[in-house]
Amino acid sequence: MNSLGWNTVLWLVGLFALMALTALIGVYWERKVIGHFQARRGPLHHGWHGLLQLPADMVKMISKEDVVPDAADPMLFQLAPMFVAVPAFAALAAMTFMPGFAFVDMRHGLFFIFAMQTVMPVGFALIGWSCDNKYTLLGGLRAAAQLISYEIPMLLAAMGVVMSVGSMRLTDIAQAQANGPWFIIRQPIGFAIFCIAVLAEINRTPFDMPEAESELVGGYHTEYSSMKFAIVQLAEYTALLMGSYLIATLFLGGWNMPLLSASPIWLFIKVVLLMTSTMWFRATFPRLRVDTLMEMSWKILIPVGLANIMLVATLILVLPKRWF
Amino acid sequence: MFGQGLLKGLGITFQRLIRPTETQLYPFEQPSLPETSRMFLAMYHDQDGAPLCKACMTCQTGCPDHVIRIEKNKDDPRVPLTFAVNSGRCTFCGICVELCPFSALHFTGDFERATFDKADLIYRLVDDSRATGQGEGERHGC
Repeated sequence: MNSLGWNTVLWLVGLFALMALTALIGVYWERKVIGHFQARRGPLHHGWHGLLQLPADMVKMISKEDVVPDAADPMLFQLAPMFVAVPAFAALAAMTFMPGFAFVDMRHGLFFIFAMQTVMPVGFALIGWSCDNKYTLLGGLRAAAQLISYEIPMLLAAMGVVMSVGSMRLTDIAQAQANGPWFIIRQPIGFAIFCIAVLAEINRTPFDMPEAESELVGGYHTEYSSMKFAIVQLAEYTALLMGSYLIATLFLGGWNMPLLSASPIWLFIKVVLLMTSTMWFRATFPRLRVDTLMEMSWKILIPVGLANIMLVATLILVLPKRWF
Repeated sequence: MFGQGLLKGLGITFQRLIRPTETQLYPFEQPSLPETSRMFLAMYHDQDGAPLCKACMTCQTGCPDHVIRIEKNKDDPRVPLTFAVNSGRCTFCGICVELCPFSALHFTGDFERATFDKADLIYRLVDDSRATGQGEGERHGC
């Protein structure tokens, strides 16, 4: 591990810039892409194709009044967004972009990322509770319930990959796909479960019950304004980045590309494509109902995930190592 | 097959992505309206510039919203002196156009008629100048 020096500082600044840029460009890109998916144009009038909308949004977000509701628990209201933002940011520390190109190439990087994501439901529930507002409370509880139930199928699907590779180090997982087929081909069921679970984990449509506009106003962050809202938003886009990164690394070969030399650019392209496809889903699908969402996790995804583990375990035993 | 509908939906939105957008950039580009657009009432004139209206009062009587007010020429009752249209009241139902026995009225696509004063919404179709709005209020209490 690095000693606390310039290297560490540079990495921290870099990762923070990555998080901020993802949120900023993500908002613009999402508005633009969803606009075009719906035969609209998205932001258009400020700057070239609405690019100046980006700094305008940022300035607006910073300069707005930071309202704290009278009935809110002032301490928790201030603290709660941190319970969401800090784990999301901490999870970035384990990101590996190439062998040797990582802040900390942890032996249990995957485990660390999942562990950090497990803290987030607490943050959402706290945000919901601290505002003293029925909509935020419902939104927070929904978010917590949803995140907890979808963590299990996500872990089950990831377990198949970990069993196959025999390591939780993200470098090993991606390198295992360098000379063979990617895990999307080797474990298609695991890939499907993982994608659905990630989509639910990051509260994206069709699983965005926590902030269902039509029933819960704005969900758990209804009462937040100004920078605190920006922090929650930042955490959500970071979770989106992390989810896309996990899918790309675990199932799509990470920085590897068949017939071409490995490079972080491939990882970048895959992550951008995955993030864009979550926006595609958002532009297409209507929202699920809360109980059907829970049913899907507990009655379908978890049993299928367990069966997938059995299948993968059997194949690992039966087939020669280089095939599976 | 399970999930067929989901794939179909994704296909539809993807087609939208490839196709050109349908948003009209109205203030920057004029929209192309269909010829039958009912945006503003207008009067046909003959080759000499005289209105086709013969002041028969059918449209004024038939209008459900009392939009049209015609004043006849005392000397020649077949000539309208004023033909005032209060476009603020008009619902563009087109009954006047249907009723007119001389086919003198028609709708145009001219829609940029927003004003800051309610009185400016009253138009005179016969000499096509803006009416003062006087007299309109007395009759209908606006």
